[in-house]
Amino acid sequence: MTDATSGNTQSDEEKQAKRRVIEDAMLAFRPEIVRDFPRDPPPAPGPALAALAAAANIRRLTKHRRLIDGFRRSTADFRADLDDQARAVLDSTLEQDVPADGRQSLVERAKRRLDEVAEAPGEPRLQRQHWQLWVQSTDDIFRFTRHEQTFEACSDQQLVTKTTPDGQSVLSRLLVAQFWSELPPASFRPFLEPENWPLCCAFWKSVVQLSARVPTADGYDWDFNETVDIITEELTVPLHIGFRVSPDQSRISTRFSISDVFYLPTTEVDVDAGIISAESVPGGPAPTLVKAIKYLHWRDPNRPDPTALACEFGWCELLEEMAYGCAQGFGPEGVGPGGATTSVDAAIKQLVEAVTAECQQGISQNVPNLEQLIGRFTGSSWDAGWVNDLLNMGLVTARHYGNIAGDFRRFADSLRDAATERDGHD
Amino acid sequence: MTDKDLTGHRPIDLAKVWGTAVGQFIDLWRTSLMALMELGSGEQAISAGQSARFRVPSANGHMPRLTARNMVGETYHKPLDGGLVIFTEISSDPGYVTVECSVDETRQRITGDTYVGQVVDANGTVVATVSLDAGS
Repeated sequence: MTDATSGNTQSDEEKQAKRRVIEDAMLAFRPEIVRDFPRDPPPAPGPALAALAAAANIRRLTKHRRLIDGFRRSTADFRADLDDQARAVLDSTLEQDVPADGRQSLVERAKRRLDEVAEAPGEPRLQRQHWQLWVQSTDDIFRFTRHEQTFEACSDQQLVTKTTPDGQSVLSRLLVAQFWSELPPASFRPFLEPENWPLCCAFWKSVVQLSARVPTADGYDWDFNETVDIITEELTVPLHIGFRVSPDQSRISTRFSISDVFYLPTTEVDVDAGIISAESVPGGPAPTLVKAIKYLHWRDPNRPDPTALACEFGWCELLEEMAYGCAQGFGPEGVGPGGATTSVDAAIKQLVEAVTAECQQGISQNVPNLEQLIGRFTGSSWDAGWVNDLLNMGLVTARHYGNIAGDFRRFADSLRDAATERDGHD
Repeated sequence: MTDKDLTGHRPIDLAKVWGTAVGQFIDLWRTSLMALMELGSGEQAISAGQSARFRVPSANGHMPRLTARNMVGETYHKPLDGGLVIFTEISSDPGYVTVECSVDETRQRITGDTYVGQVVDANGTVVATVSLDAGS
């Protein structure tokens, strides 16, 4: 076994400390998990949030998401005791160059928004609509990037039937996280390659090669042992991956599953499969969708199942780090406020491509209706059903014009962002 | 087209046309409204790609007989037996049904991949191209 990657840019101690801070910020508000995975001393909310605020190597997305989740799980009285720590967390995520006098006012405004999001309807945990509410109500304070604005995680409530290497059908947990980006898929290539996951995410301990990479026409296949830390558990899983890059670089992905060759009776999970990808997807809030899907099943039903927590404890953080380009960053182009890295020329090109695609699809989808419509008048007697054909065509057209309107809206946003950025540089 | 053609329709023919049209007007209104409401929201359901939805002309008001063919994995290029793809009717509009399809993973172990292929009706006409995430 060679080629161990355990994180060159951060020491193992730094990664462990970072992971501990993130875990504590969750566990402090989740006593039911601490019962299954006891930690001594058990994390308390106040110190956990104070550590979160002090951690300079934890991303804004992670800090905000943990803070909102913790507050939503707490009563109003309990939250009141944590006001100062919450303000410290929010303060730590403001731009460094905000002057001290204005800083306090921004923190107070953000804190009021936080209390509103904590009280917003929904389950007592962070859900998609709560993140959207937070982004909308504090964008003037934090100027979120497109990656942050569109971040969604974790959907881990769904169970899906998957087959184990032993041929058993088991209900596996489905974990999904994603965000949209103005950057092309190729920008995410380094983070999609498994050898870099330990560099990216504090929960990944190592990736250790089990067999040599096998080149393919569009990437490579590889077997390796992946070791991750989840709270008190260390899981090592032999994975087989297929890393692929499409010829036009519009899609880069790593498909992974348990390696049949290296799977052992002692392997603690019997389903660990999915895909991490960055691909051009027309019709979204930005041109590129970065997505991570994972199916997991814990083998031993008699032990507490840490995979039930894998989305929040690890999978989510991998995507959160990717949203910032991991430790390496995205290079000189960066990701500006609101994701405003798209030039006007690029925005025009995207608009033209999107509108053309919509029109082409609309025309092809209307072909059967048009054929039927013409057929109504070319028979021996005309058919009054032409009304229905026309309405069907109207329905298809309305659907596509709705999409085109969305494309124009995004184009307008791009122009606004470009103007804002230009003004900022003047 | 003669005057006789124009006046020769029985009331039941026109009732069928305009009865259908009422539902179509509602669909048109609803779609237009949804397009306006979704304008710029950027919201999409977080999906794992395990299922795909498409709309096909109905057969006697029901989902027609559908078959998946030429399903091939994007990563490993392995074929998937089209018989493993299952189709479920989700909803129906006048003359159309919305169908959801996914892969039945209980019958055999499938290599994890995104399988892309075609859906054909009983006449062999392609009615949709689908992409399904399946396997482990």
